Amino acid sequence: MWQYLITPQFERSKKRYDKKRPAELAAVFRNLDRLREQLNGLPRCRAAQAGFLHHEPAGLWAIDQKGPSRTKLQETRLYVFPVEENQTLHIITVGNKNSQAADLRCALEYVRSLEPPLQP
Amino acid sequence: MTTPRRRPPAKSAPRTYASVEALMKGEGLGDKVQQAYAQHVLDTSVTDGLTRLRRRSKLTQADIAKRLGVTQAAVSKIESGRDETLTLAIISAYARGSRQRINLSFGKPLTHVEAVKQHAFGLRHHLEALASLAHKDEAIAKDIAGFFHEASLNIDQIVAHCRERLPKNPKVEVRMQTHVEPGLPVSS
Repeated sequence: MWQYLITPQFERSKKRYDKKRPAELAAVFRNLDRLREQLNGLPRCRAAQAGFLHHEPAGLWAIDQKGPSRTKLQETRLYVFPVEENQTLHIITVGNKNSQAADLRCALEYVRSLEPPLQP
Repeated sequence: MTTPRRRPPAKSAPRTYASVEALMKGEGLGDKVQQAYAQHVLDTSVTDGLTRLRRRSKLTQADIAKRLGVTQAAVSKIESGRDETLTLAIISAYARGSRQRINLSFGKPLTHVEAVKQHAFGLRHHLEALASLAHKDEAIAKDIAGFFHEASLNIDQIVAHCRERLPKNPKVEVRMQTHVEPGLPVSS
C-alpha cells in the first residue's frame, strides 16, 4: 500500500496554504488520495493516469486542484515524487501558477538530493 | 579550554502517513482544510465508486467512452468530477460495461430495524418464488428443498450469533400479538 512522506520542503508551503488557501489545499489533497488509490491497484506507478495529474521532468508529478470543488479555485499544484521501491509518495511542495518555476526547481533539487537508487 | 560546540538541531524523522486524513491530522492542518476535504469526499463518493468498479472490471476509460458515445477525455473528466455531474446514462454505462449491479438510494438512510424488515420481506418474496418454481420439476424441487434447509440453518445461526451479543439477562417483555381478520369467526 502506498503511503505519504512529508518532506522538509513542504513545511513552509503547507503553512501558507493552510492559512490562505484551505479550499485549494483540500482539493489537491482529494486528488492526491484518488491518485494513491489508483497506485494501489497498479503494478507500476508509471502507468498512473488522471486528468489532474501532470508528468514533470525527472519523474516528478504535479497534482492540480481540478475536479472536486464546487467553486472556482486558484490554479494550484502539489508536487510529489513517487518511489516505487518502498511505495512512498514524497510530498515536496505546493504552489500556484506564479510560483510554478520556483516550485519545480525546488522539487527537482529535492529529487536530486535523494539517494541515486531512488532516482528514476 | 575549549568552548563546547553547539549541537546541531536534531533532524526530525521523516513523517509518513497511510491516508490523507491521517496526514491532515498529523500535520496539524486547520479545520477549514479538513472540512473542505470531507466535503470533497462526500461530493465525489459516487464517481469514485464508479471509477473503482471500472478498474476492478479491468475496463478502460475508452471502453466506457464507447458505450456512452463520448471521448475518453470526457470520461476522464467525469471520473475526476463531482457526483452532481453524473447522469443515469453514465451510471448505467458503468453497470452494463462492468456487468455489475449498481443500486442507488437517495434521501434518509434506513435505520437498522427498517433495513432488517426490508431484508426479511425481500427474503420472503424470493423464497416464495423458489417455492413456486419447485412445483415444476421433481429434481428442482429436491434442490430447492435442500436450499431451504441450508438457508434456514444459516438464518438461525445468524440470529443466534447476534443474540449472544446482547447483554446478559435483559428484562424483556415479550408481547404476543394476535391479529384477527375482521369478519372471521373466532374459536374459543
